Amino acid sequence: MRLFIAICVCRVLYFIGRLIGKGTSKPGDIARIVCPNVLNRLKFSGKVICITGTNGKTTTSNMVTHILRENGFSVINNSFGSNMLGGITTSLLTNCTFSGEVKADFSVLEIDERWLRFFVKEVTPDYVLLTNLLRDQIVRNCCPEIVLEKIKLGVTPGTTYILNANDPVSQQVSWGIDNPVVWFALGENERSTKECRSGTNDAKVCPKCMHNLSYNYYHYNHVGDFHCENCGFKCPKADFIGTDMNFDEASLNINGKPVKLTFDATYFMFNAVAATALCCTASGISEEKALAAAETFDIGVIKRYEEIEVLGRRCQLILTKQNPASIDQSVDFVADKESPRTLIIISNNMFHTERKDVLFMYDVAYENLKEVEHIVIVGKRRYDMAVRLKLADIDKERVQICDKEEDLRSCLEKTEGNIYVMTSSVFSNEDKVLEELKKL
Amino acid sequence: MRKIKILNLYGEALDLNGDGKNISAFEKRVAEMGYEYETDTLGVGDDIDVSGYDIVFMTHGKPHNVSAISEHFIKYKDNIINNIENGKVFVVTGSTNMLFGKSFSMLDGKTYEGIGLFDCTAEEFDSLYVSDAVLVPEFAPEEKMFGTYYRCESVKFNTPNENRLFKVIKTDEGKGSVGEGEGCHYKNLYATWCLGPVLVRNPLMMKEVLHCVLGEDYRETDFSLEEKAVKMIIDELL
Repeated sequence: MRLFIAICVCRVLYFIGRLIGKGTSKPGDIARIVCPNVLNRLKFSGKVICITGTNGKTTTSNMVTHILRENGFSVINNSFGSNMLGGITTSLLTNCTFSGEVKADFSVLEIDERWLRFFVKEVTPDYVLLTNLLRDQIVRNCCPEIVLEKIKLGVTPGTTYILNANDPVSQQVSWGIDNPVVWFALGENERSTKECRSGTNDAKVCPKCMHNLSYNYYHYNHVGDFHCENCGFKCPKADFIGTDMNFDEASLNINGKPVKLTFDATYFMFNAVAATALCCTASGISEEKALAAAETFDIGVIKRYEEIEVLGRRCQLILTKQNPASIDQSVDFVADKESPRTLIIISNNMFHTERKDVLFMYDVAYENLKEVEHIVIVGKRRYDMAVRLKLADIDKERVQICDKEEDLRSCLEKTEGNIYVMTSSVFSNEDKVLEELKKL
Repeated sequence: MRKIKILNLYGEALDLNGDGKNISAFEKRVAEMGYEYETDTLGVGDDIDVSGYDIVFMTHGKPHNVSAISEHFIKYKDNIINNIENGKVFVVTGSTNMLFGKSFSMLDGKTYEGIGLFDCTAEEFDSLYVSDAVLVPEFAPEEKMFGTYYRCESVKFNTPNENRLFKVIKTDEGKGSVGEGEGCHYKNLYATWCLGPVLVRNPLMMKEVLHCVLGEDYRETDFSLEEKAVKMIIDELL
């Protein structure tokens, strides 16, 4: 009876929430009060897949959903909701019968890496895909190893893990467990580097023996082909590997079979290999069928790179996640654009807390902006950003500090070329700057 | 021309939250003053002898890495302590300070030995204390600095307020908070639980360390941008 009431309450609140534009966590949170361990009472007719990790969760889970649906499977997912317990509960309770049956071949659930251990107390997933573990929001996660420990607390017997062979941090989930593991990896390509180009590398030393870790190449941050000359720790042999990447055509081979994707970013190709590994393993479809479906998956790039017109010039808003790896990708995105370029960096206090620390600035490779012709800094922490850029050897003649949002026009009139605005949900009050920009 | 020898001790293992940029900033200042510098990074697998260096940096690290290097570090206890006693300049930031106390215990249930230079013990806990802070340095009691704490250790000093590097005049309360006095200034050792680019963002501290290393060879350089940035933060906080 409690399950029935919880499902009803959740659905009514979800319906009301949608009408008034509220989030999707609350209905699930309240349902959990009505019926604690509500997820444990659900009956899944199909397999449960959890997709977690620092970056790439949403894209990978959407791609997995797309591949499975294209191959005729019924899939429910939480693409519309939050990836914490409340949001996942809302997703499942609004997609089950009133008796609590989840009638889908697959439940594909994107889940916050810190919350997986709570979810598995109620539901044992058949598969867990871990995209990567990178340095994330320090306020919540401190360092990737702290998150790793939390994920390891959620290891459940019988679950198959799909792990990134190129990531020396997340692969530690496999240490000391008997669970089946499927490894995915991306091979060396024209964007691989011999030196780490990112602002952070969380695996400079071997996690087993603390001697220096050697890399044949890096994809980004600490993700690459690594080995330890002291103890032999190295990349495991991949079961699914992406090779022969052609970024101009957004194509690669996965286990020797060609696929042409809709987006050319390295991380997107990683996501495609991970999704293929998961779909083939979980559903038994052939690699060819998985790849044919992957070719029609659209990432929805426009959401990440929104465009407006400013002073008659093209202006792209670059929305980044709240971690240095994501900001590094935005830096590279601008650095790779045609000259001349103008970059506006919005630098504010942290979140709603108004904390003044901006440590993450020092975990981002702003050094890669040296060739960008014009940089305008705005926001409460603009002088801190200027200090960071000075340390990065950015020519001070290229940098303008805009003390008031209203002065943006005069600052921009001294610049040329396309405008890029680097903002992030790590900051607060970007909206004011964006409003000023839209007025120009 | 004078060449400044810098040691980044365990720099590969202890590299969290931009602490390594303190060394980059120090190198730049030395170069601006017209001196050459050479920086070595030593770690587990290397023999440690700090005597040939003008300054030794030990930056903030992940709790796992701090405990993992402790066995190696303790082997060089005599070399480290003797050099500090003889005036070697050390800058230690963040959780790495645990290596200089008597011992520290971690969430894995193990207790690790420190070199015992500080009369303190530390205990890791399962949450994170986060705070901005305004600090008054012991070496410039009329001035103020900005600090950031992210700690998952509670630290217990047996000798309260002895050799503290900072008086803390504004910070948040909570498990892991630093109290009224923080850090340690002993001879030429500057140790603080503040982490991140402490020297980059605090010209006061950078100048103090540069003076300590260079003595009469210290030359003035332009800190106006850094001074403006840190003043804005402190004004917002107070």
